[in-house]
Amino acid sequence: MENIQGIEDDYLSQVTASDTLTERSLTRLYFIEPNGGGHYMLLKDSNKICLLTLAPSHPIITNDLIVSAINYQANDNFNCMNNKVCGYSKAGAQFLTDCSILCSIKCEGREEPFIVRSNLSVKWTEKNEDIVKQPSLLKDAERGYIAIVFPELSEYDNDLRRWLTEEQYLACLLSQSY
Amino acid sequence: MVGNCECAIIRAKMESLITEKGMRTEIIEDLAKFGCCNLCILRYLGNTEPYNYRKDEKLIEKLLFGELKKKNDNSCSKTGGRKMETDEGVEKENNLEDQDQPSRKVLKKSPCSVCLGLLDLKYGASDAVLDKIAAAVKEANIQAKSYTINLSLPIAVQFRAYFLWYHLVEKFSKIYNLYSMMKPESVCLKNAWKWICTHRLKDKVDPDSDWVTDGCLMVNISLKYEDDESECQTLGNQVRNSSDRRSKSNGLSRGGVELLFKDMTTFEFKRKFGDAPPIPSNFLVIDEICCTHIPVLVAGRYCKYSRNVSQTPWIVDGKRFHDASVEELIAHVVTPMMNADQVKFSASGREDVDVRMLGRGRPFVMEVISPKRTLFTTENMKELRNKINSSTKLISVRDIQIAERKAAAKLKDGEEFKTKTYCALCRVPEGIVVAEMLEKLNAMKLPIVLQQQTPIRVLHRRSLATRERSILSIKATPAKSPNLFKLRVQTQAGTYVKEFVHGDFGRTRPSVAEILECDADIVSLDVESVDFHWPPSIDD
Repeated sequence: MENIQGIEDDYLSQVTASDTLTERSLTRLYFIEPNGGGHYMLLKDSNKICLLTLAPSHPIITNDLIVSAINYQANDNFNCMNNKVCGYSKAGAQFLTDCSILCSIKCEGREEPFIVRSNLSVKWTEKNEDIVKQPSLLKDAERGYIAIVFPELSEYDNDLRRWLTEEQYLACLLSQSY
Repeated sequence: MVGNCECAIIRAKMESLITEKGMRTEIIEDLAKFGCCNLCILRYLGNTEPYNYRKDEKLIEKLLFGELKKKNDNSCSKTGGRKMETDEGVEKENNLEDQDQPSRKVLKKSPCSVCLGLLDLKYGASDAVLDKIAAAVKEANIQAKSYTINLSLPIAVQFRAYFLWYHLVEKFSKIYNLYSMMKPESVCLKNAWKWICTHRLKDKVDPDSDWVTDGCLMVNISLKYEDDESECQTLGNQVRNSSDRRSKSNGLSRGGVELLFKDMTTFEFKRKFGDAPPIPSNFLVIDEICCTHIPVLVAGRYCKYSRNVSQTPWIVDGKRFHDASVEELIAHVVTPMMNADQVKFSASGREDVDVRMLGRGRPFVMEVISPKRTLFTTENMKELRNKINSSTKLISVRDIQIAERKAAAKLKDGEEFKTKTYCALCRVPEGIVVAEMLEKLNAMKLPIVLQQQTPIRVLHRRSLATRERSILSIKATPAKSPNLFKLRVQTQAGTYVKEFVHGDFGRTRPSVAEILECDADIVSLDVESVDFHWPPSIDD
C-alpha cells in the first residue's frame, strides 16, 4: 500500500508505449466490394459491436471527392435506419441482411451516388447524425463513421469470414486483385 | 390489513362482547362439540392474554367450564329459564358421556380438530417436542444474539380453521360476522403455540437468550400431518378450478387458499366442502427444524492496485477472463471467518478491469448468507481487515465493519449523487507542444457539460441514450514523457472518463481530443477517490 506507483511509471512499466486503451480493444476488418464498388472498414470492439467506416482505399478518399450529401433514406418507401430501439437489448431494432442498403453517399461531380450496404447480417444499427448535418465529416477518421452495427450473432462468424484482416487487405491492395 | 394494535383492541372486544351477550357458555359448548381442545376454545373466544394459555390445564378447564357448572348449580338466575334448560341438558349429556366412557377416552383420544394437537401439552407443546427443537438449535451451533421462531403448518390446519370459522359465522352470526377481518381464527394458532412454548424453549436453549419476533437466528419449524393430502383433496380441486395460474406440486399455497375463501359465503363453503372436517386420527408432528441466521453485512472500502483484477468474477461459458476479482479476494477471507455458505458482493459503482482504484477506496458491502459465526467486536473487524490485506497484494481494504441493513441501502442510493476523482494518463501525437495544450485545458470554464452518447464499449449492455454529465474540475499537468500528460478530473457520477478523453468517435462532446483539436487518447486510468460518506471512516 505504501509504494503505489504513479500512473505514468505504472503505465511505462506495464505496456509498450504504443498501446492505448482504444487500440487495445478495436480490431480492423475490411471489405472490398467486387466490380468497382466501395471499400469499407469495420472497427470491431471486443464486445462485437462494430463501426462501419470508409476504408482508406475507398474511391471517395483516394480520389479526394467532395461529399455533398448522405442519405439514410436510400429508398422512397424504406428507411432501414429509421428505428427506435429501447433498453439494453435494443428492442424494436430492425434486422438487416448482408445486402440491405444502409445509406447513399452523393459526391460532387458524380452522377451516381455510392450505395453503402452492410455486407453482414445485422441485428440493429445506429446512424451517425453528424455526417448528415456535415457530410464532409465522412472522411474524418474519427467522427466520420457511417453506422454503428451490431452483428447478428448467429451469422457472425460466417459473415466476418468474408471480411479481410488488415494483412489480407494490404496484400489485396498491393496485388490490386479486386 | 388491520394494524396489530387495532386488532388487539377488536379482539379484546370480541371476548367481552361474547360475555356481554351472554353467549359465552353456548359458544364454549359448541366449540367443544366441534372437537376443539380447551386452548383452541380460548382462541376462538378471542382471548388474547398469553398467561391464560400458560395456565395449568385444570385451571383452564375451570376457566371455561367451571362457570358452566356454577351456572348450572343456580339455574334459576336472571337468564331465561328455557335457555338454561337446554344448557343443562347438554351439560348433563356431556357429564354422562364422561362417566360412561372414561376408559375409551383415555385409550384413544382424538387430537383437537382445529390445532391437531399442536397446543396439546402431551403432543405439539410437549417437553419432548421442545427438547427436540432445542437440540436442533444447539446442534446448528450458530452464534446469535436473538432468536425467532417460525412455524410452518400444513394446509389442512388452515383448511380446518376455515371449517370452524364458517361454522361459527353461521351459528353465532351476531358475534363472528362482526370480526370478518380475523377470518379464519380469532387468535392465531402459531401465536398461541409461541405463548405456550417460547419461554420454555428459551430455558432449554439458553436462559439468557433473547426470543423476539424479529430475531437474528430464525428457528424454522415445519410440521407435517399424515392426512394432509387426503383432507385437502377437495380444496385442491377448488383452487385449480378457480385460479389455475400457478400450480405447485399439489397446486396449493397458503395465499391461494386465503384468496379462495376471501369472499366465499358460508352457504357456498358448506355446499362445496360439507359441514365439518373429518375427525382427525393423527397429530401434527415435527417434519423438519432448520436454523438459519439472517444475513450479516460487512461493509468497507477497497482499493485495487492491479489492472488485471476485475471487480466481480468475469466468467463466460466457463472461461475465466482474469485470475482474480475483488469480490473473490475479499470473499475468500470473509466466508471462512464467518463460517458461511455464500456471500453476495455489491459496491458503490464499479471501475473497469484495467483501472486502478486508489486513495481511500470504493465503498462496498459483502452480504454474508447464513453465517454461523455472527458476533464480532471492533477488534475482530480489524483482524479481518488485516487478514484480507495480508492475503493479497492486488487489493487492500479499510473501514471494515458490520453494517445494518438500512444503512447499507445507502450504498445504492448514493450511486447517483456521488462525485469521483480520476487521474488519466493521456497521449497526444508526437511533436505537439504539450505545455500550450495543458494551459488550454486548465483554462476551461467549469463545469464542462458533456453530452455523452452511450459509449461503443458498453453499448452491448446499456441502452442507447444521450446523457448529460458534468466535469466539475479539471487539472492537466505535464508528465515525464514528452507526448504524455496527466489529467485529473472530478466528475459527476456516471461520467465515462475514457470517452471524455478520446471522444468515442464524436459520441462524447466536448472531449479532450476535441478541445485540443488533435488525436488525444487515454493510455491509463486510475480512480483516485469515490466521494461517498458511507460507510463511516474507521482507519484514520
